[in-house]
Amino acid sequence: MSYLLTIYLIFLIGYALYSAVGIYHLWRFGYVGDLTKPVIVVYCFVSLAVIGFSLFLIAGRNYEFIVSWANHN
Amino acid sequence: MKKSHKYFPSQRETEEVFLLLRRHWFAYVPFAFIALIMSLPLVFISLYWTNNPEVVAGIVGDVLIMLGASYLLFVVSLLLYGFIDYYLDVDIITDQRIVDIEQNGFFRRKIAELSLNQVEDVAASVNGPFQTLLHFGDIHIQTAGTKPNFVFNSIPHPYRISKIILDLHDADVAKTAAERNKILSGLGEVSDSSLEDKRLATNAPGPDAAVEPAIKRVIKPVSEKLLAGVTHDEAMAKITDKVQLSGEMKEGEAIDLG
Repeated sequence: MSYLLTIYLIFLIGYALYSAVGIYHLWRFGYVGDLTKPVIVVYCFVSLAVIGFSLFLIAGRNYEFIVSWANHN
Repeated sequence: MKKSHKYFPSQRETEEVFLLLRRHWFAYVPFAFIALIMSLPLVFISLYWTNNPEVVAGIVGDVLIMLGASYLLFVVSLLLYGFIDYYLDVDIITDQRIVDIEQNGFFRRKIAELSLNQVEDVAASVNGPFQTLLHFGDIHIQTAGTKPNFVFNSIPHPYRISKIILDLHDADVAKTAAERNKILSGLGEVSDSSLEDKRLATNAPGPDAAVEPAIKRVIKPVSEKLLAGVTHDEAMAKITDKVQLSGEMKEGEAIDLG
């Protein structure tokens, strides 16, 4: 499990770097009043929601496992 | 203090931006469609998971969560990539030149410029049912000399835009001709006070009198056409707010016909 989590965290770091480059381009080359700023907000929101939800699911499953393990002992 | 704003790096202080064109939204549809197709497996996996929670228990479930989240983030990042490629491709038409800004991916950005007086011919083409129904198409600008031709792909209302480019070209030619006449006649010399005095005494029109009507004759119809419905009602309202009849723009704002 820890291997999996490490790989996932490495992927998330790469994704964060990629996102930073993309957001920089939108921020740097967008014009006042165009769609670049709303897209940045939506992209950040969706990305954080997906990451947050996945971590929440993983944490929830491990919590259940710990509880069941504790109950058996 | 007025905030300085440029639409492209080499924009001059006196240069007015008339149009800022982006590709039609339909150009982004393939990206969105591919992303939609790519995210379908996640929907099926989620449905399967809901109906059979016991199958994905334990480590299999953890792997599926991480793989699913990674895959979804990958799809979202593809959408961002496509949006940057689509939205940062901009064509700017000023009173002096045409600027084509092309963004390919993250690290390839090309800016090509063409002076309005180098425009030889402008052709608009609408091909296929989607372009016909959604009113977009390509604009081919033929240039003088050895400069490569400009091609604007998937531009909304290509016929009207090409007419505007031709009108601006005519205005630029008229302006250049008037300035040449001004120099040749010698009336433009400020130091030559005797000629200026003579002109004032005879009530003759000044040097700008030759230039202004020539420009206004062309620029004003251009602006009226912009206001008369280059694009749909919302964009028209946007343009009405942002462009004055003289063709001036407010600082830091763009006319987006996309």
